[in-house]
Amino acid sequence: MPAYKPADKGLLDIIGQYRLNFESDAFARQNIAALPDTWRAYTAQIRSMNKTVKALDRYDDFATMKIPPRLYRENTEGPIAYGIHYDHAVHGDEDVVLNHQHSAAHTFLQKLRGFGLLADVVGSGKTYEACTVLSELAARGVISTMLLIVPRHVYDEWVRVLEIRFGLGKDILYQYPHFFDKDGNPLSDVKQPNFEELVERCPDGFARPKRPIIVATEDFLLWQAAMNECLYDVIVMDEAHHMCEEDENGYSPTLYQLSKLTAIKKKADKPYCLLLTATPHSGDLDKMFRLWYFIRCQGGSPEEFAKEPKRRASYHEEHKYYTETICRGATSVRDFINRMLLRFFLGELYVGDFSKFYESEYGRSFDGFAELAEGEKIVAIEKYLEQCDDRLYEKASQFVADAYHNDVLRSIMIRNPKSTAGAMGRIKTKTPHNIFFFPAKKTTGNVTLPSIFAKEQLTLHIDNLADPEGKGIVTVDGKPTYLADYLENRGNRKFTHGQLLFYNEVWKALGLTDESFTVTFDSHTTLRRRGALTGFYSEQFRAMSDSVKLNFYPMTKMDAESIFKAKLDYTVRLLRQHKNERVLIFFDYDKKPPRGEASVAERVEDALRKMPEFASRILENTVKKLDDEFRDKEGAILVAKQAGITEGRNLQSCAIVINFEVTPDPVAMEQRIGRVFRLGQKSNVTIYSLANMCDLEGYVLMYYTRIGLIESNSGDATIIAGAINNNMVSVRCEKCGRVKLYSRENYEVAKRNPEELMCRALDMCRLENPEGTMMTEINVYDFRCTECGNTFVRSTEGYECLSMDRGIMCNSGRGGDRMVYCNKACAMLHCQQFMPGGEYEHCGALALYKKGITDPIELRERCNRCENKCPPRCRYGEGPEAIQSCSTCRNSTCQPVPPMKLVFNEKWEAPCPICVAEGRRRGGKLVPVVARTFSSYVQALWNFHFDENAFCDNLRAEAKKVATIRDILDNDKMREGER
Amino acid sequence: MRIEINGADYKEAFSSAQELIKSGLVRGALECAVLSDGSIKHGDDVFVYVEQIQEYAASQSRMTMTSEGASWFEGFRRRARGEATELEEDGTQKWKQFITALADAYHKKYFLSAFRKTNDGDGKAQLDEYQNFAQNIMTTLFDITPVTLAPVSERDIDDEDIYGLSLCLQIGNGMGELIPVLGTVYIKRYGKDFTLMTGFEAEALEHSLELTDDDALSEEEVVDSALVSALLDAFEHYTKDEDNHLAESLYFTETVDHDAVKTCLDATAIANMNLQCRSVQILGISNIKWKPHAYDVYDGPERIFRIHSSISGGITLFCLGCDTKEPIIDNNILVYIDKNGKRRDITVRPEEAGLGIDASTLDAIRASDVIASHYIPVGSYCKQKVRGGLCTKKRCRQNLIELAINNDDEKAFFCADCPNPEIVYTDKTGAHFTRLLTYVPTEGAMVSTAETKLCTSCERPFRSDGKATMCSFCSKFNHDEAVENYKKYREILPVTLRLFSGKGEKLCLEDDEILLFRLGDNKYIFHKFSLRERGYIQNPKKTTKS
Repeated sequence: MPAYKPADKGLLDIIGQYRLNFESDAFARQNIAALPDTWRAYTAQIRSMNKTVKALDRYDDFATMKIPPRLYRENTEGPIAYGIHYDHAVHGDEDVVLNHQHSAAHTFLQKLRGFGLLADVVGSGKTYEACTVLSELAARGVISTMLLIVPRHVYDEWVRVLEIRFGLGKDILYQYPHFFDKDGNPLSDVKQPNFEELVERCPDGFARPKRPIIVATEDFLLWQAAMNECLYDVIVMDEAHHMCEEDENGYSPTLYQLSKLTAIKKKADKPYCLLLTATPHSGDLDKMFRLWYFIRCQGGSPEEFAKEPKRRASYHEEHKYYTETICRGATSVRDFINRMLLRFFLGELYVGDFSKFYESEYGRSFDGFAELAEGEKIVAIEKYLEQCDDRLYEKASQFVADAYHNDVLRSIMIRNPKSTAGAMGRIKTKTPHNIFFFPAKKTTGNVTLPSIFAKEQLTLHIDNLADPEGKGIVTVDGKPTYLADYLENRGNRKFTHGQLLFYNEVWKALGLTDESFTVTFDSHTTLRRRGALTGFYSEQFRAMSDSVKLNFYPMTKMDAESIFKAKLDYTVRLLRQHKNERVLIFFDYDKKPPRGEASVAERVEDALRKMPEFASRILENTVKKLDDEFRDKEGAILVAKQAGITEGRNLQSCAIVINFEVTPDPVAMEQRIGRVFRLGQKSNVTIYSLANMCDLEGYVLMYYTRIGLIESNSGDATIIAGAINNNMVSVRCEKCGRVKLYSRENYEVAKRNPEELMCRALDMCRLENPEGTMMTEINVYDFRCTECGNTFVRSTEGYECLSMDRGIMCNSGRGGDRMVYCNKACAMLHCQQFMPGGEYEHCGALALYKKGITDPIELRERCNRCENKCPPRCRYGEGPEAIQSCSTCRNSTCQPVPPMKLVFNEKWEAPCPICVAEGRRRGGKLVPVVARTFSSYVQALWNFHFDENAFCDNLRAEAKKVATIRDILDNDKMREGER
Repeated sequence: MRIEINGADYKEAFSSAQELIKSGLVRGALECAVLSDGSIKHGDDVFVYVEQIQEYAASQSRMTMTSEGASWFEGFRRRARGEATELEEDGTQKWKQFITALADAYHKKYFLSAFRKTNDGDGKAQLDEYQNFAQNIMTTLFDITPVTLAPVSERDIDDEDIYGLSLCLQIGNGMGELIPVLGTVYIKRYGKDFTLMTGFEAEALEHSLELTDDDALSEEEVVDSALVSALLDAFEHYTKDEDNHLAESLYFTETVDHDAVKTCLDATAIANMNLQCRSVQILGISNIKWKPHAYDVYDGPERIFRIHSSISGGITLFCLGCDTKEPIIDNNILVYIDKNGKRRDITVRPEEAGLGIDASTLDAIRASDVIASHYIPVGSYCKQKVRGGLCTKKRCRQNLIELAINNDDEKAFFCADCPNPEIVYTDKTGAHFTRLLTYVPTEGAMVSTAETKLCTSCERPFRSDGKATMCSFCSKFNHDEAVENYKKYREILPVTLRLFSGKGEKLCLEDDEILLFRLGDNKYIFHKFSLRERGYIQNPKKTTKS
């Protein structure tokens, strides 16, 4: 007999890796029937049959799905058509429950055994996946009660899908009363239901609800305590990532309450629990730990979700394992990707080539690489990644993507790769159509094409760049033609690229330069965004996908009103173009109109209503069943006036979206597109985005286009794009106020070369030191009090007043000054003496201020000319001294904080004025709150005065990075045997 | 009733049921048959496997979307209406019951199966091969070279007696539905003792059984029910054992079971890595007996180890120097405890230099008890000098007697059969460490020092129960004889001492060793064998207690 050599197969790899705890009565010896009298010969037949019978011994009720997808099809025989309507346009060759949904439900049951997280991408139909699981559990007879915890905006949809589409039965779900309206406002006089009527006490001692219950997530924490003592055989929680939300003490009330429910389920041996989310994290891996722990520790114990000190050692041990082993020490997805790239290129296989590159690129020995700061290493790796060959790039991408998707995400969740879950993407397409409004000295003119665009130099006349086709109308040899078609016919090989370069020529011909992007904020401040055209826009256009359609709209006047009119004009044109189609119009809901004025959305709706051809098409935002109304009305136009319409709606009957304004929040943008580009959409979708190239929206739209947010389901890249950006560093020259921004990595590199941090912009910067003034780190973000929790918020105009809802403090945001103070005019506005009936009610300066004139010189001049005999301390003035007397004056009505000045220290901390005003013995301090989202980050950047080219540089770098991340993460392949 | 079974996952189960019934092995145990179209008839039910999911859907009438909703939610609807919720049993439930009954019938009939095998090949022909193996092992692990081998008579070789328990376990990680997995544990019998084989050994064994040819199979044998009962006792004990040995021995023969456990573990908190087993069922027990060729290993004239091939072709090495029944190497697997107290399994490759073990592991193994306790130089433990040096003989650690000295501060080791009385004193009660004994003259024997005291009279050790202060020599004497003795030996005392000793009684007690003079309250000892330097007899010496 040959000597045994252990096999390499993995059957032995778990030996010694775990403990097996047998329950006390696990081995029931009495169940062994009387022993046979003889040992039977172990024949070849028995040996073979022992193997055969294993298939019977191993019978697993969860191994297969009992309900074939077609059984979910709609039955129209009764008064209510239960089931899912089959529509070839939606389902194609698949059945009403799509293959990826059925497969996800199967894996959930077979592998996760009915407890875990379903986390397919947005629009893949997770609700259907969950309802399929519920149906399968019901078919096995293992559940008789259920609890659905779902966000309010998808509440009705859940009721409809489960009761009608999956046939639970009309009005079978008990809808727990709401304590909030749809906008999150508390409702008064809401009564808790009668517990005794809702619940029955069963012989096994558990209290069970008589009907399956659905409760809004918002109401879940407010339902009566007795409901937490009930047994729910299965719990479904939608948008489960909200469970991770904590208060400042790290307390997560939803998780705490849910873990109480799971503790009862454990006792009753009813383990089923489905958590659903498309965004298990928001780019912050550290935060995802809560979800991880809940799943890995099977619901945990309630105390583990209570306040920090109560948590057990196992919690901390798990956290350590999660952070160090699963996340490789990274706290964010971006950080994780960086670390994995480092690991890849510093690995045995590739370190040789990388070290050669490093030494030649930096002229330094690779021996010192290990000593570099992490950021510096990343910069070097990014450079290498840019120039390495495609094969290596792909390998690195696969390595990182595999670790991210399979090690981090799929360790706790069912998550189909985007390619399989995004069934919509296989059936229908979406086309972004970007319309850029740009400043031009003229809108038509002659342009000479260099020979690279054609065989010989050509001179064209530009007639109309903003034609509806987006191709640009020009006249060649006296004959009008589309520029794009003309170039195509000329046989240009790189048409799009060439076209864009050509547009560059066109822009020049129309008088557009980098200087055109200069923005004037007030009479004193001019903001120049250097490199906006030649640096930022040109680069993004060049890197843009061919499938993105572009249209350019030259304008000779770029004031807000002109832009509004041009956009409205374009919108009208689009609405006419899509006259029989449903159209959705979105806006930037964070932009608030001045008090008393109509919002842009309201103005657009008003304008359209006045046009007879559209008046009948416009749908009221206020209708109760908006989704149904929209679906039923052909050619309907929905001007979405509230942000609420952008989430949780099923508006797939519409295939045309117009972004009248472009939101700077990528997640919100994806949500908007997700309303129409989702399962059930029967047509290809077109998304028109109208953007002013001189405004933030132009830059942001370009950024979205670059990272493929609109064009494809960028999935996690969107989350990353919209997530934390706390790795940005802003520096400022104390002399001239010039500000420059760096990524954390680039800043680490810059610190090694102080030359780069020296400002020499103006003579004053070189006064003390001919080398220049060293730029120092500043803070650009919001502040929060450590004690009272009040925030000191930075809006687009500057820091908002702590007392009044619309006041903006002086000096705020100007180059990151450390002192901000109240505006004297604002203080006068809230002074009893200047109010109607007050002694100085007829103040001329204040009258001007009320009219919107904020220029201090004008206000001071008017004050000087005033005949009121008010004391000097009450007269209009500038600077912090002007409000000194107001801060102690009894006539001030500012509450709780009187007019004041706020001085931040070196760490950007200051005593909290609210704590001081309210006389708290232990006053808190305002500390910076780092921008957590792309939206807040980009706005902070945008609002920085004295910007030269920092904004463009940073956004360009950010776009490039996120585009790379998207490329990398797109390599999502499930490991063999995973499904 | 026609019951359709659908789904690729059930295909294997259906085919297995067909095969099992066709084999005839469950005939008489369960009434069932495979019909000509491949369907299975059991009682009134006919089970049909349907390949295509569409066909299944079309023909399944029990589950459907009715005008009231989905049939599978009927229970919820009834409950909401306050009606009874018992639902009609569906076909898959019957299928589940059938296959459970079928598998039970098979397992009940073939619960015990035996496999017997004697050595194969020519023992003498294998001698050279084993000589090389043994030499390699002895040199690498014990620094013994050279060794010689001699074949062992067949009647002196014990069978390897192994029991394989096929188990079905319902396991889970605390949440989620339990999952059934099939595994095997192998238990080896050594006399009356049972020892779990590790998963690694189990895999090797399974591998060898796979290679077994049909000729090696045995006939039926009568069951020793007491032995099987003891085996089940041992298994039950292992299920309650807190040391987790069963998990280390559980071997999953098929990937599907291994992967199921792995998936469970992957979803388990790292802090505990605990799996729960709610039920474990023994599906069958197989007994494997194997009589191998065996060879004794000699170091010079001394027979020290026995080496033989195990059933799976590996090498098994026993120590002959101690009573340990468990092998040092079992089927090429060497189990040792590392310096951190963690159990390690190493595969030994006797045909490779250094046994195929890397140097650092080898150092750890040699330092561990599994090697360091066998056939070691006695002098490495026993620090008593023999002829000016340490003892160079070799013994197993188990054969050394360990003794604590000075309240465990010091330990002494010695061989029970040590020929040096200055080291070991042997009497009818056994071997004693001489250093810890005291000669008691009244008994003429060596007594544990701890049990002795010094006599307050003659100042010699005596065995004391704790209260007595004088030895029997001094306390229980014949008065007349003592008077006579005094007369006999008084000349030994100086004249002046006799003249000025007062009026007290004068006595002399005698034994083989001393003369004890009592002059009033004063006592003088005269050692019979003590001499002056120049050969004169020493004068009697006054005792300190006088």
